[in-house]
Amino acid sequence: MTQKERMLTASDFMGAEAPSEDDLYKCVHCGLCLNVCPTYLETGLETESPRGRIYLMRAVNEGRVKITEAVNSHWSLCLECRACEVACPSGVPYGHMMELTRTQALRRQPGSFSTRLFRWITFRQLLPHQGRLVLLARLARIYQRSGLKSLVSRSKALRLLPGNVDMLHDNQPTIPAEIFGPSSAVYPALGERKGRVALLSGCIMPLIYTDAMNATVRVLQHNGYDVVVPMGQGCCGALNAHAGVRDEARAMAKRNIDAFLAYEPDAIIVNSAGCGSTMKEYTLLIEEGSPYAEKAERFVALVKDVNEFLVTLPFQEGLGEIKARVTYQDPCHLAHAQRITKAPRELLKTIPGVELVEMEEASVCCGAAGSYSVTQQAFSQRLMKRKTAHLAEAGADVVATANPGCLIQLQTALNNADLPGRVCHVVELLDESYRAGVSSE
Amino acid sequence: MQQPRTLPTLFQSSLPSHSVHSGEGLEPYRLDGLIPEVALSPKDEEQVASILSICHAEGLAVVPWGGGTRMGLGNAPARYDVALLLTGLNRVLEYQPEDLTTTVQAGLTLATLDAELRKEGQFLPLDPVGYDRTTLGGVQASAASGPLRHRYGTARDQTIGIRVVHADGTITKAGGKVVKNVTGYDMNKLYIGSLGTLGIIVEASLKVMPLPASEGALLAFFPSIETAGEAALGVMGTSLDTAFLSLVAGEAVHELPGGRSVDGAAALAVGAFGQAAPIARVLRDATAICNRNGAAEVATVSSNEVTNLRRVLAEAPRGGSTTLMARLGVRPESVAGLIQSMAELSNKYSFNFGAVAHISHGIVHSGWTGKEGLMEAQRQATFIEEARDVARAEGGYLVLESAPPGVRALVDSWGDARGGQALMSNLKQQFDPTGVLNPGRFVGGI
Amino acid sequence: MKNSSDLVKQLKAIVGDEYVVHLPEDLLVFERDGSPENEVPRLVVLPDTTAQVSQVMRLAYENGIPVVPRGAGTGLSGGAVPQSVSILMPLSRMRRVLDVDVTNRTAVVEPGVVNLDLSHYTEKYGLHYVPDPSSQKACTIGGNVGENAGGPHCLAYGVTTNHVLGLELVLADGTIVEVGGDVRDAPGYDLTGTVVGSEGTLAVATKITVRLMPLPEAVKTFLAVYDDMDTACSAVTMLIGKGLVPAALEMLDNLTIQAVEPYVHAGYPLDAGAVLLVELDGMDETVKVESDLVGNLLAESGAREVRRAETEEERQLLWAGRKGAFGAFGRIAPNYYLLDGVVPRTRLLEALRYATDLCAERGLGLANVFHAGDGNLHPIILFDERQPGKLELAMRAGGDILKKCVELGGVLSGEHGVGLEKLAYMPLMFTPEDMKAMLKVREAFGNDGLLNPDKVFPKEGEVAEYIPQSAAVLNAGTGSYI
Repeated sequence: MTQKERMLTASDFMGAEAPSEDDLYKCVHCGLCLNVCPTYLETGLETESPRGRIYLMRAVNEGRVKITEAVNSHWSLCLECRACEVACPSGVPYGHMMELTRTQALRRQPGSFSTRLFRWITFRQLLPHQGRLVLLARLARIYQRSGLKSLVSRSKALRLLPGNVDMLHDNQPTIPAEIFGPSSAVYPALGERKGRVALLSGCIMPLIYTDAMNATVRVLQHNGYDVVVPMGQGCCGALNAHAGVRDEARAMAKRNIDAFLAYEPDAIIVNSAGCGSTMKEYTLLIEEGSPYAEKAERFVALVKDVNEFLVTLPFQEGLGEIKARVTYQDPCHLAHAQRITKAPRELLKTIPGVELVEMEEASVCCGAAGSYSVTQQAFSQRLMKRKTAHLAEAGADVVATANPGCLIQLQTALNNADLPGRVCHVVELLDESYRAGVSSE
Repeated sequence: MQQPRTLPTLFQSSLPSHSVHSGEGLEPYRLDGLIPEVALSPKDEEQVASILSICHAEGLAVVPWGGGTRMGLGNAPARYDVALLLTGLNRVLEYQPEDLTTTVQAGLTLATLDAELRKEGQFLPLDPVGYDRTTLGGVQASAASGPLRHRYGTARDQTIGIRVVHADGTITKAGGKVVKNVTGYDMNKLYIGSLGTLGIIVEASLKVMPLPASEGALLAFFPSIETAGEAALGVMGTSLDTAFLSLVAGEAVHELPGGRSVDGAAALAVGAFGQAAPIARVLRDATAICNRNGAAEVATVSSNEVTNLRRVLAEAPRGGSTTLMARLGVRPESVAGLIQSMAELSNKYSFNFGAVAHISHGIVHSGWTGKEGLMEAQRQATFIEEARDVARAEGGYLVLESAPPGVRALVDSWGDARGGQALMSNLKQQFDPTGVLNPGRFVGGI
Repeated sequence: MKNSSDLVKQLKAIVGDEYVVHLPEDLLVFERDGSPENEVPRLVVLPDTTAQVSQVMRLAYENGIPVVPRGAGTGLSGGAVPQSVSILMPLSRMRRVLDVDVTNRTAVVEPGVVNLDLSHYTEKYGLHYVPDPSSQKACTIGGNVGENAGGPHCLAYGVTTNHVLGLELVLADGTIVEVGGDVRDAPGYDLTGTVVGSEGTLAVATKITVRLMPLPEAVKTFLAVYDDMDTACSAVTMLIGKGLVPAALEMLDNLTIQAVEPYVHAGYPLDAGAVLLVELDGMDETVKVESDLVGNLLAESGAREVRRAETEEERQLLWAGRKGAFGAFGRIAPNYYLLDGVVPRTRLLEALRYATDLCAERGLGLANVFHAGDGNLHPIILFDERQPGKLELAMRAGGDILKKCVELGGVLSGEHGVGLEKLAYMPLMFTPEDMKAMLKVREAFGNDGLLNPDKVFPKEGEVAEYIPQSAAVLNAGTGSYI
């Protein structure tokens, strides 16, 4: 046995769902990724950088180290914001490698009982089952409106619980009365009909951001598209995949592929950046040789972020005036994973009265990062604090973004720092402008 | 005390007799009242090396001489046995115009080198005072500079390689002959400005520049130093590509072309190199800035007079009868204030004062003269100390570059090293532990 | 020597728990910088202030433990590669811009400030920091000071040393010294200039005063496409010979184009023998006059096509290809060995031909992407270490090419430094006496072998002999070189 083979047999990476050697050795250790990585920016530690994390993957692959708690902690602290992929000249598919690595890590470092319980509930019992999420949301709304929530908040009882439960509790987003969701309805195009698009409803967006969902539908209608929200669809599986729960994510992907392709839409529209990026990568999730492989390719070709989709049209520019200083936070999975940074800004700039100001580090993660704000609370808070400083400096009336996690996190940031201003989806602002324009005519 | 006749004989075996000077001929090498016992004029680095190895072995103190134009820099030598005259090392060793580099011996004068370069349409952008006589090695050892430092920097920026003879006669090189090089320590920087106290520069490789297509300049006269300073900072704050930007005050104003007839306290000289259009733009914009700041008169300098103007800017504060000369350094924004304070202080002492400042680098060359009765040594020394305090208060320094021996005996030429005196002493200890090279002349008694 | 747990405890007391790395699996991550060399350090400590740097160094000094300073770890010569006995001290936490003095055009920064971040920061004042190494998005000013870093725009404006005015230093024993500053030419030796480029062997810079320059009013970038390298090289000689000193003059050969074009889509023609990037900047009037001149000269230089970037976006794209070049080689070969030799500009072609023939003869790939304007070559020897003997062959070829550079009147390194990588080649350029003079400086700074030891100068006894390959590279393990 050669030394290399011996090393390989000693590797903690096992099975097909591990980063490939080709990918691992694409990294030439140049370091261009360092200064865009939020965790490196915060700590200055190579271990908390993309280059460091890849180096650990390689070390595990070569059998130089095992997947110890420390090794796993560095991988876990990664936000999977994929800013490093944009900076990388060698084309290292970091996000994909990290997902595979987490799948490996789950086996070696399953974590404490409570972590495993959280993971089981979130990734196996809740996200794949939209009905359960809806039920939970309705219960939460009752809780919020009964006065019980404010009672609990005032009692400060939750401070007795470990972690930041009290903070998460206090910052829980308000659940609206109406919940958005798939239906057999067709929202008809306004004006000249250009085609038909299918909209992803998703998991969290329809529960808390009903307004954004409705706004998306109206904006698409306004731009000449019939909009359907296909029945049978569910959560995209992004959170599951990021956490390394790839089998569940795969099942969810297949369900969505079937649900959407059945409608034969001209495009599959996503208004949540995290979902869009995962859906554009369904081909990486589906096993090789699966009958779904071909379908996934067709599906992926149709997926468009709503910002991206609109700017490729001769889109309807903003109509009515919104007098506001607006800053835009790049959602990581739009800017880095999908490389879409200009489209949302382009949309915002067409709104009369909007003054678009760039804040510092607009493309650095706000710390939401899907379930990261729960699993890595402390670090998520650190990044939120960093973001808060930039928000304060920008002094905007409106913070626009394009992803639910960011919407929650940014609103919390403003609330905690008592900063004025509201947070909304780009499309909401556009919709507002359309409506203001129509009513003033 | 050494025996006067034996010292020259030490060098007979390594130098031809016409290179060994003693007796009467030593008067020109008097320094602060000290006369060496022998002056030696080697022709190449090997001769320099053998001289130094003899001096090292015999415990002799050596004072290197280039063109002798700035021997007033530095304190009186602690010991002085040998004057080492380097003007014999005056050859251009390599010159490849297409590479924009040249390698020359250190005793070559700037004027001679410049003439060689001009034949190929190139030049060395070093223009300190004493251009005609000063040697390259002297400029390097003293880190002297002139108006063009504004755009091109100093010897530290132009020198890419250096050969040095050490205190014990060892010859070493540092750097190289190419324009970009990080191989090994950048020893060039260490030797440049070290006043020959670490080693004697015998050869240098330099970056040279293509001659500009043309030169243009303006001279603006101002009623006050303050307004001239504002205008200077105004020009500096733009993206105008200026070749020099010199603030002139006091007596030095009268040295400028047309300066005699102008009743102004200060002037600003703005120069530009290049094609006609950019030069016109610089002069146009600079004129507007000067006018905005209350210039009494703005005169364009004709293209063929620019070189002469630069020469005047280098020489002006050190006119014929100047007795005290100093280089002061502060931040650019403090230059005008410093000059104003110097003018007031000079007034208090009834000294005539002139200054030319290369403002973007915060370098102020100053000169003073005075009437016979007012110039006693103690009074000058007190003045220098006071002036030094003024510079210090602005976060700057004053280095005395020339003064009568009586004054030099009373006041330190350098003042304090601003930082790293211990490191400097360590360096001297490493390079010249027995004090062969210019002993006692440098900062902190090095 | 103290036992490690005591030491860890004391270091944690200085910098905080989070910033002392001591677990073996964590330390592994710090074994390399951007170069091929590697060795796992004993400990890694990240101070946040000058006082902490000083305390860490004093503690290390008292215990006889070497300290290796590090910026972002993007260096290409192994200057920040630690030894197993050393404390590695990255300064990446010290990334504050302390002061920008707009009137005097200077800034004071901590060593961990990223090069490009400084220029972004000062942009609002219409100023920028000029030296722009290809890694400027990640490399730190402190690291730049250590290596005297260059970059494409150093042709007209000078390298790091021409832009650094003063330093706050911590010496090997923890002493804090300030040298130079925003007041120029202060009395005394030019300690600032001496420390810049000393590769972290004289002192650790904890504050750096730099010179800022106004942003150019106009920038014009040309891309000239050539069928072959020879014509491109003659174009460079011709431009320089005409008395033009562009802001940047960069060349990429065919193989480099093959590597970067699929990544940046800069529009470099894939079949071009070489492309030349020429950038002019300065006042509107200057750029206008000179760009007409350069446009004509390039057209007459045998270029098959000359393009001008019309928008800032197009310009950035042309540069993205150049700046991302090194990283992009990961796409065409599993391994590469990057050189940094310099030759006089008139000998460029000779050096390139030598390298090309040599690599062809030995069955190695060769790409070239370099600062043509100042003769700074970057031959990139491409190989696959899985083929037996190729690694050694590549290293030997590298040595031979550097030797040729020196023979042509050039030097070993234009901007990457000697570090570990070129130790063995130092005798090609310097006599033992030359190096002894440099070592006196190290002595004077009180480095008793405890500050970045075993770098820059080969150990005594190895000095006299030229070793045709870097032993450290040859001994490296799988994937541990680029």
